[in-house]
Amino acid sequence: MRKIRVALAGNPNVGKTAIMNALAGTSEKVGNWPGVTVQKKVGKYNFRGFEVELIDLPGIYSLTSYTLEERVARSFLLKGEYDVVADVVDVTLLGRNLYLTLELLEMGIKPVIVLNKIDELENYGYTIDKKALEEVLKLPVVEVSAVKRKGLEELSETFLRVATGDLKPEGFTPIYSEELENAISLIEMKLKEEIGENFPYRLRWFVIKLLEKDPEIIDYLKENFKKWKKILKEIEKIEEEIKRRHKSDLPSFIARERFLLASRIATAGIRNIVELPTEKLSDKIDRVITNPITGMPIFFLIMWLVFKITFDLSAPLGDLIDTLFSDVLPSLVERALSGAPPFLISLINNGILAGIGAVMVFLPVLAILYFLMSILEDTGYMARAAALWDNFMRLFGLSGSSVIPMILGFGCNVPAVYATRAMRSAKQKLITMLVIPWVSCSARLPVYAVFTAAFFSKNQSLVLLSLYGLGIALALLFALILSRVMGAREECEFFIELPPYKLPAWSVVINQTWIEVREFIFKAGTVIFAVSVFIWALASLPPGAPYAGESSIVGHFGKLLLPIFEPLGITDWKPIVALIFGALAKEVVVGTLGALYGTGEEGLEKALAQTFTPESALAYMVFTLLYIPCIATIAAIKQESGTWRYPALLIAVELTVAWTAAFAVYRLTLLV
Amino acid sequence: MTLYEVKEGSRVKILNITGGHGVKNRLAAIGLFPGAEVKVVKSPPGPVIVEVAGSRVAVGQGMAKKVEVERL
Ligand SMILES: Nc1nc2c(ncn2[C@@H]2O[C@H](COP(=O)(O)OP(=O)(O)O)[C@@H](O)[C@H]2O)c(=O)[nH]1
Repeated sequence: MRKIRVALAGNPNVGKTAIMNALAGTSEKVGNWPGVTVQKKVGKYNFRGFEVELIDLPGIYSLTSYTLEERVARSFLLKGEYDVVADVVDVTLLGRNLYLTLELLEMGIKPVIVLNKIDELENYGYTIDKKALEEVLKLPVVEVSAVKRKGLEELSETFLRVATGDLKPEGFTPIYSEELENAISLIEMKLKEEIGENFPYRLRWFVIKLLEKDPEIIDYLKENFKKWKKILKEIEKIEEEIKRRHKSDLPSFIARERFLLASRIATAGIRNIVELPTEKLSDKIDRVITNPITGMPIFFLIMWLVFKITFDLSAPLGDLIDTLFSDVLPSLVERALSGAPPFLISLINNGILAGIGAVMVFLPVLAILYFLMSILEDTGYMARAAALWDNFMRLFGLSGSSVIPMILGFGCNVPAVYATRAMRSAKQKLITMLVIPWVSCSARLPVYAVFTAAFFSKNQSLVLLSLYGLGIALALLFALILSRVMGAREECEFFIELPPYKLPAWSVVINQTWIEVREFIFKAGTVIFAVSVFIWALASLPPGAPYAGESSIVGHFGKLLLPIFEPLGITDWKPIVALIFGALAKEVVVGTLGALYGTGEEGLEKALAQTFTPESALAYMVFTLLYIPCIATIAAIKQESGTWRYPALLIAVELTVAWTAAFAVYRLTLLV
Repeated sequence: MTLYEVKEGSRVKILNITGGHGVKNRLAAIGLFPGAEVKVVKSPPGPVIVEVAGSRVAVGQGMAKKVEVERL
């Protein structure tokens, strides 16, 4: 079958995901662009004997090289490893969207214009003259509604015709004011004197980007042109003239010209304009929900609802899965294999079934939370929440869109890591997912509960609050450090577009949730499973050793590590083994302690009172809060960042900080 | 006057934006450049919301203080 590769380009929020969904269904694969943490989505479908591959480029407003997303999209477009570029345009924001179209045309790309959200036009004060647009842009234009599934057939057909050369779009060349055109010709002439055979760019585009002071292009100039200094001087002269006449620097001047040209083209394609009232109901709502005084209570109410719905709905399902994998199936196995060596039964029950169970318990929480997050995103609330928090998060070098993932972290770090997908800036996204593990998730609560009950029954809440506070403080501190180190400040979102309020597109929300859950099972799930079985092996080997007992490998490990934990006041190997098991999920620490002290979870408090002092109990809680994230979180971070480098770094940093903080707490509390 | 100080509901013309090329370029791509006319939908506390080229855009307080405007 012949293959066609179609790259989807467009502004954020134009409906690229919806188009991908409508055309390629759930065939979508989510990954990362090579070497960066920018998400890459690829979908496939068959059309008239062709296999069409859709490649989703990051949503961008322009094609400069200031952000990672822009660089990713641009270098992909420059490489040209595609048959068709589809420029997805939100028809309700035609003028603004055509800005990117003009940039594509400047690059020499002749995209298919996909006018999406055509169904929305009923509510807008205009209609579209497709013919007129085609004539001006000299490009094929297809009207579609991804959500209502209209125009999809024609869209695929257009892809096909362009890919096979049946349709050869001529493409309009954006021509700007005389002043700018003169400047372009002047620099073009200067460059031509030196231009080599294998100059990889379109000259006109290269010149425009030089005038826009594009960092990547300026670097190329400096490296490849001997007379680069002269050329930059020339550009400076041009800029001075522009400044004198228009009170604007050169890059802004060009952007403005491009924007105005885009608006003019849009006007040519729009008919039957009726004046709509400019004050909308949504503006009134926005004033309330983005004002901190009213907006914060609303925000916390919504987050509370999200948590309540998630945990109320997922708790029974989680219990069911838990019973299935730790009771029902194991006893079935024991009966079916009665007489088999205990080692084999242990492998199946404590290794394999427990491993599958460890993956499955996440599914209800993950699916429900992801579903609710998609609704918040799709209705338009997410953008408002980001705007509401922007000012505060900026103090820590993050932007407002990192707040929701971080707050989800209190419930469970795993969906919190996945929630960072809604963030636009790749660097901010990476930082957010790296600081989420500091936030104390609900799985750590059972550990605090047992220890505070045993040692701090008088001021239980104070201890709990301090632990949560410590987690938040470290999260924000590391956000600040990372954003400095990675230079993420320049990549802050300088503005947040507020899309119109609307009902969620259910089919998209459901499809995306399913894709998400599937990706989790196959990517993170395999890691979680493998680690579970590995830990089982550590606990059961050598054969004959009691499970996780003193003579097992993990028991030896515990004793080996004892000298490291003695400065924290921990003098027994059992709590250390519990920490190793806690890597699976932090609440497992309690169960393991119960099993190792032979008390079960009920009598554990007494046993702990004999091993720990209040000071070392506090140190142990701090260590549990801060040491490595659970394996599911690690796997999620690996899946989202696309490399093991970040999770590995995170583990190293967390272990160091956990030990240091626990040591400090132990020593300080001994003093008072 | 800066965008931060504009009263809710008024229309303004942008005179100047302070910042690096990255900021200016990206703001310009959505229609916020010297000479552009926008309507202020919401003023502080909280972000400033402007209507520009048919869409609503929230601008943080820090950024809003860097946008010099005049009332129309
Ligand atoms: N009315 C309407 N809304 C759409 C259509 N396609 C997408 N949307 C909505 O536009 C918003 C952004 O869509 P999404 O696919 O997430 O955009 P992306 O950022 O380009 O991937 C969502 O709220 C969608 O429900 C459409 O054809 N008609």
